[in-house]
Amino acid sequence: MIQKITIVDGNPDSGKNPLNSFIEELTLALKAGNSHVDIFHLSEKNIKQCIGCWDCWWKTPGVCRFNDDAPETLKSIINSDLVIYSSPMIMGMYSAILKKFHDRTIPLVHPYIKIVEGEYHHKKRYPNYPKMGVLVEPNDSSKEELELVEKIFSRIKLNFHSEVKFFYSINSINPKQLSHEISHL
Amino acid sequence: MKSAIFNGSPRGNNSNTKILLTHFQKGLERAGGSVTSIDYLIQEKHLEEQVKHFKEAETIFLAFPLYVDSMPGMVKQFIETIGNFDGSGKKILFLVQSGFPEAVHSMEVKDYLLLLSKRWKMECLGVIVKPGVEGIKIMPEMMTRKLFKKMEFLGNEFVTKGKLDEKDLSKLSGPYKFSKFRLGVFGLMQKTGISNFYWDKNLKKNNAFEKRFDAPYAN
Repeated sequence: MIQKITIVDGNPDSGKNPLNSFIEELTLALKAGNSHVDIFHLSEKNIKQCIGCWDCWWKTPGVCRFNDDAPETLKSIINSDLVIYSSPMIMGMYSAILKKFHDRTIPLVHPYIKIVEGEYHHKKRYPNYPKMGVLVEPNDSSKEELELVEKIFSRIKLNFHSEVKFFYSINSINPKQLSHEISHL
Repeated sequence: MKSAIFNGSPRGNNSNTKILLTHFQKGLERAGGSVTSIDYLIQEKHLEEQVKHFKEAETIFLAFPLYVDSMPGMVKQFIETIGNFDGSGKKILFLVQSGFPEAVHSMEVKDYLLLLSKRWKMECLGVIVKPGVEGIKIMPEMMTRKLFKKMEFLGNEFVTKGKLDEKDLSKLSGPYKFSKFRLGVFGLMQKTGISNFYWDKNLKKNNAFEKRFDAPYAN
């Protein structure tokens, strides 16, 4: 059952727009259903680019050298039942600020490799990983670009020992429906 | 053929991406091509110049390591900065190198780069996918020499043929997924712990071996 939810909002635009309204309404609906919701607006956070130093794998296992706003977000994610990534489509992909955050999630896994579905993937560092959900605002993206982003998330889930429970354009569902769907996961 | 190189590795000057690019460039120059600029996207203070080089280039070569199933965030940032630019008449080439040893991990980002070329209205001359690159620092010289020669060959082909041959690209990227046999061998290596050698060596060097399974964020 989904009790704790972390929303990682990758919208670089913090003003009034459809995606922000959707997230706001979704958060209210989820809370009304007694879920605990933590929301991180990446546009308000300081998230440095991962520099590939691998300190988090071989020097301070599980901890990044940068003590910016990424660690608190990671802590929330790893202790959640569901993580929702939301982003507008920009140049046919999710936003750079969300991508920068994803680059910083590698402390959550172990450097050791195991075979998953016939491919090399990193082993778990934690016993449990949250399920994943994705919300995108399509903007000028093509059908192909949207499908590709969905595919990228289905690869991310392999590396993060998770499953993608939903991938929605905000035009294809409303916040109440989604909240209802989440309560039945 | 005049090319502007953009190195999208967060490790910048110390990157494996740079090593691969250097050998590509060698082949390119030997065949009579020239490199007009090399920009390191990690150096954000030079963004204005980087954008200028990008927009003025005849041929663009964007190279980066695979980070969490796609391009590093800083490369996406650069793509957003360029925006829906009309690059009609320009050509573009990409390199995606990964630590993972099979090509399967890089296929989605490869497809993205093909769609991005369309957005920019540029002719894509090829997407070089090279898995297993993190190992080049510990690979025997014989193996790295072979890899560097292949990069040089592609640099040469790029100038002489004006594009990269799909056959040569797939030879370089190797298998999409490994065979059952190779996975079996890996399974044996795992049992003996050999497969963790590289990590363990560094964990021990940093006095972190005993802490390697730490889970610091668990409630």
